[in-house]
Amino acid sequence: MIHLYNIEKSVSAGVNRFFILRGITLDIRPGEFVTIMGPSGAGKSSLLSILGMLDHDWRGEYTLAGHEVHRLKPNQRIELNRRYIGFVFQSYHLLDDLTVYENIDLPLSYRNMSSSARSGRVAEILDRFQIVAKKGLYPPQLSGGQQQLVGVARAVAAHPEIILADEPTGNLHSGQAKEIMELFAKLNEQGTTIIQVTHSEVNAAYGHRVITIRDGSIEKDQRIREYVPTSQG
Amino acid sequence: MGLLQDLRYAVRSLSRSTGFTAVTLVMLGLAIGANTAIFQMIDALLLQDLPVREPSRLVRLDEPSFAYPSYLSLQSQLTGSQPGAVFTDALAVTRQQVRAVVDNSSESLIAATASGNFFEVLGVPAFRGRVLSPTDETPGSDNAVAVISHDLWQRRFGSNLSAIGRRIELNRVPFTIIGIAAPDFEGPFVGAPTDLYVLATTYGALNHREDEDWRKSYGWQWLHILARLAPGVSLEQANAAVKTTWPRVHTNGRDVRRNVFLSDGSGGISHLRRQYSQPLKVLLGATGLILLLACANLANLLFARMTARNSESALRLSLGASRGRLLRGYFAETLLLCASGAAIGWFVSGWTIEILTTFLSGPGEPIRLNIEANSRTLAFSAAACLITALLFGLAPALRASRQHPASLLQSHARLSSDRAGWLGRALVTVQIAISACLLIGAALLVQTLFRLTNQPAGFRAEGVLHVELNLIEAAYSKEAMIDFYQRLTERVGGLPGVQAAGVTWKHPIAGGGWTTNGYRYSGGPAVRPDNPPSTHVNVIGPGYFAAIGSRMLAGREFSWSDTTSRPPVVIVNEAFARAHWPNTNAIGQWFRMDDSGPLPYEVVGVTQSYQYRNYYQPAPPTVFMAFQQMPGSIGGLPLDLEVRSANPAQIAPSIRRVIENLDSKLPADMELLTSRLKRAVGRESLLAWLSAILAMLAFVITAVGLYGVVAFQLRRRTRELGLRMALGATPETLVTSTVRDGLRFLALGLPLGLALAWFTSTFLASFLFGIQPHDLATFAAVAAILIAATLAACWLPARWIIRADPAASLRYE
Repeated sequence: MIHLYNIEKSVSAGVNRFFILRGITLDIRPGEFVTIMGPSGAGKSSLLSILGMLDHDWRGEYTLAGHEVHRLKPNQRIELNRRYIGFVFQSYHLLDDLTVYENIDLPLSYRNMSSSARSGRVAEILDRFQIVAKKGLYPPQLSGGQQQLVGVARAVAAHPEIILADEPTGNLHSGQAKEIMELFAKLNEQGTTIIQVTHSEVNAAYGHRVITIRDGSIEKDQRIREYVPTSQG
Repeated sequence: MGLLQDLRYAVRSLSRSTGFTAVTLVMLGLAIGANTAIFQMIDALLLQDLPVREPSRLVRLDEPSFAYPSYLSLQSQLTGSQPGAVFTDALAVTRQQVRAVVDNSSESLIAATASGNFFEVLGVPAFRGRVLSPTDETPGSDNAVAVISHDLWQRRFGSNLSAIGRRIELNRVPFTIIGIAAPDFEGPFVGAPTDLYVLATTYGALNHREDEDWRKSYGWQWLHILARLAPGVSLEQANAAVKTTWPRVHTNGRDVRRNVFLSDGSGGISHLRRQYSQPLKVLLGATGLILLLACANLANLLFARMTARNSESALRLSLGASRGRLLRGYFAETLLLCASGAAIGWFVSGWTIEILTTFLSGPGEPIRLNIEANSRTLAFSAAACLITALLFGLAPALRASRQHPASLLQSHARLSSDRAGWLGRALVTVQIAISACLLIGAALLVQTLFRLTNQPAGFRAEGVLHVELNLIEAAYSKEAMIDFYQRLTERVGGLPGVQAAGVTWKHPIAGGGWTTNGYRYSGGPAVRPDNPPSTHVNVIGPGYFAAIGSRMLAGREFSWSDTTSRPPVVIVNEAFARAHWPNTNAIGQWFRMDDSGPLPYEVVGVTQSYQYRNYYQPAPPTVFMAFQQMPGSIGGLPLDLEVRSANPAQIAPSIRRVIENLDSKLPADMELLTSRLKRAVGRESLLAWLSAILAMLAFVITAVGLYGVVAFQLRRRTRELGLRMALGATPETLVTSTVRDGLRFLALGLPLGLALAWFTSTFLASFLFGIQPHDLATFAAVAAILIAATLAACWLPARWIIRADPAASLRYE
C-alpha cells in the first residue's frame, strides 16, 4: 500500500543542515496496523505529516496505492489525500462552531458528493459510532473521549483506506483510551490500514508492527503480531 | 449550495464573536453611512437632472438674476428662427412666498412666477387640465391663472379634480386654477419645491406694485433665465454667441455686466449648489478617508481573527478542503460583515441626511431634496461594500488559506516572539497619518468658524429678536405700510423689557438688498454715465441702530418727524463717510440718487460700519434711508422689526399680541437674530461641525485600531512575556518596551500625516478665514494629541503585565 524509499526532511540552520528525517525506507501493507514510536523530537509527527501529504517539503520516493506521490503536484496530492487518508489528531481538532453532525459532514463537504449522499453517510456513521443522540451538540458540550470518538468518526466518514492517528489517546484517560483503541482495532479488522504515532506501549500492542524512530532514522522495525492480509489487501 | 452553507456558518461564527462583530458592524456602518449620506447629498444637489424633456439641452444664464427687458431682448435676438439663434426658446422664472387663501383657509406657499412658455421650454406636461402658455400673456387675456403642483393638489385639495377651475387668492389677488403639474415635477429650484406657478406678468399685481419698474427697468433684476439649446448647437457655441450678443441685449448701457456665461442647466437653479457644492466635495473626501480608516481597522481585526483560527484553517486543509474553498468560506464571512455594515450604513445615512437638511434649512425656508435610493446611490453603497470586502477582507482570508496543515501535528513547545506582521503595522501607520490629516483640517475649519463669528462686527446680535412680517402679501398700500410700521415700532418699543425697536429692510449679514447705480454727493465729481458709482442702500426706521446695537458715531438716528413733508435725510456708515468725506465732517453733507426726486438728502448721522453681505467681506459703504421718506418708485418695501431685550424669547408673546391688535390676520414669524445669522455661516458651520465629527470618528477608529493591534500582539506574546519575567525582567521594563514598540507606529505615521495635512490643507485655503492653511500652532497641537493618544493606546493594554503571574503566562495556550 505504502512504499517509502530514502525519505529525507531537513531544515537549514545557517550554513548547516539539520535532518528531521533521514533515510526513511519502509513498506506498509494494506490492512496493517503500524505503530510509530520514539522519543520526542525523533521525527514521528513529521513522518506522519509526509505520509498524510500534509507536508510537501521532503525528498525521496513515496508511493501510495501505486501513485508516485513524489512526482505529484501539491493539488494532486490533496486529491490523493481525499481518496485514501483519514486523520485523527491528539487534540481532536473539532470545530467548536459546528455540531457533531456538521463536524462529521465537514470532510464529505470537500468531496464531490450530493447532499443526500452526504446526509446518508453521516447518518450511517452516527449510528455506527452510537452517537446519534449527540448529533446536535457542540464539541464543548462533549467529554474528551466523546470528542475523540467524533474525531475518529470524522476520519472514517469518507471511507478512507488509511487512517493516520497522531497520539489519538494522548489527552484521554485510560478508560476512554481503551475505547478508542478498540475502535481502531475493529476498523483494522474491517480492512482499514492504520498508522498511529504513540508513546504508549499499551496502544502499540493493538498493532501488528512497531517502528521505532530515533534522531530521524528508523532504529527498529519489529513485528509484534501476525499480519493477515484482509480482503482489501 | 456550498456558498449557502458558507454563509450559514459565517452567521453562526460571527454571532459567537459578539464583540468582534459588534465593533466591526458599528465601524463599517458609520463609515459607509457617512459616505453614502454625503454622496446622496451630492447626488441630489449636483448630479440629478430635472425631470424634464432632454435636460442635457438646458442651459442657465449664470448670474443671480436678470431684468424682464433683458429677458425679452434675449428672446428676440437669440431664440427661435432668426439668424444667429442658438436657442429654440428661453424661459424666465423667479420664486416668491405668497399667502394663499382657498375656502377661507390661508397658508403660506411658494410660487414660481414664470414666463408663459415655462412648461413648454421644459417639456413638462400637465397631469390634468393645462399648463401656462404664451397665449395667457397676450394683452386682453385673463393672465390671473395658476397651475398647482401635484403635491399641493393632493395635500390641499384631497386629490380632487374639481380643484381645476377653482378660485385661489394669492396675496389677496384672485387667480383661477387651470391645471395640475406632473407628479414628479417640483419646479426648477433644487431643494425648494414649488407649490404653484403663475405668470410673470402678474408680478406687479401679486406684490401690489403701483409702478411698472419690475417690467420696464433694467435695474430691477429679479428673474432667472433658462434656455434650451437649438439642435446641433453646443454649449461652447452658445456661450460664444451670448458673449457677442449680450452688450446689445442691454441697450441703455445701465447693465454693468458685459459678460454673461452659460452653464449646464440640467440640474435646475440652486443657490444651495453654489453655496455647498465645494464643501460637500471636501466632506466626501473626508468621509472617504474615514472609510479607509475603518477598512484598515477591519483588515487588522480580520487578521487577528484569522490568526486565532489558524488551526481551523490547517484542519480544514487536512480534511481535504482546497485553498480556494477555504478562501471562499472566509471571504463569505467578510462579505457578510461588509453587506451588514452597508445595510446599517443606509440607516445611518438616512438619519445623517435628515440632520444635514435640517441644518441647511431655516424657519420658513425648509429644504427638501430629492434624496432617495437611485441607481447611482445604490451603486455607490454597493461599491463601498465590495471594495471594502475585496481590498481589506481578501488579504486576511488569503493568509488564512495559506496555513500548513502539518502545523496541526506540531507541538506547542516553541515559544514565539512573533509580533504583528508588517501589513498590520503598515495599516496602523496609515491610520495615524490619515487621522492627523483629518484632525488638522477639522481644527482649521473650526477655528475659521470661531474667528468669523467672533470678529468685531459693528453690531450686537445677542439679545435681538427678529420679527418677520410681509405686508405685501397682506396687500397693504404704501401709506398703510408706513402707518403700520410706525404704530408697531412705537407700541413694541413701549413694552416692558424692550430696550429698543426699529424696522429694517435688511438686517446685518443678510446680503441681498439694493445697490444704487449712479449717485452724487457733496464735493464729489459729476456722474459718468459709462461708469456710474454704486453704493449699498438699506431702508430703515427710527430706533433701528439702537435695536441692533450699532453705535452712532456722529449725528442722530432717524425720528418719526422725518416725513415726506420735511427735508429728506439719510444716515451713512463710517465706510461711506471715510470714502467720500475723509477730511470733513459728514454731518450736513448731501447725497442724491438719480431717481430719488428733486431734493438731495442731507446726512444727519454717521453709524458704525457692519458687515453687509457676509462675514468675509469688510463693511461696504452704505447709505440708510428712512422708510417714511422713500420715493414712490422704491417705496413699499417689506420691512422686518428688530427688537432688543434682555430676554428676547420672553417678550415674543407680547409682541405677537401687539401685531394681532394692529392686524389680526397678519402672520408674523419670530426668531432670535443670532439663530438667523447662523445661516449666514451655513457653509462654514457645515464644514466645521461635520469635519470635526469626522475627525473625532477617525481619531476613535485609529485609537481603537492601535489598541487592538497592541492588545493582540501582547496576547500572542503572553507566554514569551511570562518567560521573560521568569528570567528576571520587571513588569515595568516590559510595559516600557511595549509602549516603545507602539511608538514605532507613530514615528512613521505622524510625519506622514503632517506632510499629508500640509499638502491637503492648501486646498482648504478658500474655506479659511483668519487662519493660514499651514498654521504651525494647529499642526503642533494635533501632533501632541496624537502622541498622547498613541501612548495611552499602547499603555492601556499593557497594564495587565504588571499584575501577570509568570507561571500562568507560561501555561497560556
